[in-house]
Amino acid sequence: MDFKEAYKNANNSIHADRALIDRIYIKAQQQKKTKVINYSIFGSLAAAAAVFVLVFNAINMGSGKINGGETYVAHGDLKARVATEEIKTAEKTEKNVPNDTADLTLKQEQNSKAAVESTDIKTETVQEDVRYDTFNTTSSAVGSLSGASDIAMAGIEYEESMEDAFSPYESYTANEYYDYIGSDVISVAKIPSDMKFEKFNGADITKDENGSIIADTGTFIAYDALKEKSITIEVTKIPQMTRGAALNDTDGLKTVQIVKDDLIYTITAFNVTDGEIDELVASLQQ
Amino acid sequence: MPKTDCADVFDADAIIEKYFDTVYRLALSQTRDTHKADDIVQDVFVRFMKTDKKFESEEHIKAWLIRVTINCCKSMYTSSWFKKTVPLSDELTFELPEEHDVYYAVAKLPQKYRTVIHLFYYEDLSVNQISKYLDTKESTVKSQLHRAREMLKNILGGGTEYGF
Repeated sequence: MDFKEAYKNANNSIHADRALIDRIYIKAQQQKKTKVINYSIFGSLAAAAAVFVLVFNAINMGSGKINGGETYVAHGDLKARVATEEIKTAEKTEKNVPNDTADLTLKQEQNSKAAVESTDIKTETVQEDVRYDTFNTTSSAVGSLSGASDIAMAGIEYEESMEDAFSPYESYTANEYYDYIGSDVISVAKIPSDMKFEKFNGADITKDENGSIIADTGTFIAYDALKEKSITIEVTKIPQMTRGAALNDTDGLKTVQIVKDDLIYTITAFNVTDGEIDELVASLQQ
Repeated sequence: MPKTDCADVFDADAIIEKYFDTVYRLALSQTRDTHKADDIVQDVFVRFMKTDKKFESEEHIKAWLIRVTINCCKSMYTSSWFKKTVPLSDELTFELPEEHDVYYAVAKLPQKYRTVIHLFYYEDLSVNQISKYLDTKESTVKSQLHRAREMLKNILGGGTEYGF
């Protein structure tokens, strides 16, 4: 039996607990209900507030207190401006509608408006929620759902829509990555020599070429922990040291700081047990 | 082909039923902990049921599920309590000793190697597909597969009987 067959057979004999499926439906349903309840409460509050403002305005109109609203505006209160505008609108409406039906008409209009607002709020909240999910999944501030939808609408091909849906990279701080790699880290400080022309946060990262020694090659991913942005670096030469840069060794992590235009780029290199530098974590300080 | 909500075209129940074990097996290979794998499975499918993602095909859904599973596992790595995770214990039983040996040999690999081995040998994904799923270069995947095989050889005592 070859490896593939043995590994496939082994996996095929593993089955998830079917009770999980029920829990998935329940959890999904619960989350859905929570949303609906939130919308209902928010929508009700918005509607109630709108009705209150309408009734208040209508009473004011009936009492001839429009001037009071204008006095507020003179004090520069934004809320008062809005109130005055509403009163003016009501005044116009009042001219066209008999007094005894004005309240009812205004209430109907406002309720209708509140319903639309409630719908808008619901839509926005759903979008935010999905964005949050996307961020949870991706841990990366790359695009938003609306962006993804736009791309999907534009008919961009499969791969690009995948890009938007999935996390390009997880963003780790040096300590998190160290925790993740754990005892695998043995590490020697190695900085890619060809970073000289790499753009990072819109700035060139410079590196002194003196002392460069060819040590390893490969592809490295650098993470900007602050902006959760990443760059891919093709490494052809790795120097031992970078002149003028401080080389630190903390808890098995080797870091080098490169100063450029008053910005400090901190690059941390990891070297796993099999000798391959796995990933770089870069951060930016001002 | 117009993109539509998965609920419109794809039967969510059937998708969950079909890929339930796929996600679980991948999660277990990543977390090496049955309870955490359960949590990941739950998380992934709840996301699936909530997503507004436009899926083009069932293959697209499968790709999405695999990516989200890997990402959920990665998120777990960064959490503080994950550090307490112990390697997979011998709680799984297999029909043949070879299956046991191979499965636990893979479980001993570092996480990134477990990922590529699982996707390559179990999911039958090509290097190109894996590189897309993991958003990395093909050369990196090839390198990781090579190193993983070397490690497996050592763990399996040469691995000649497994075709290495």
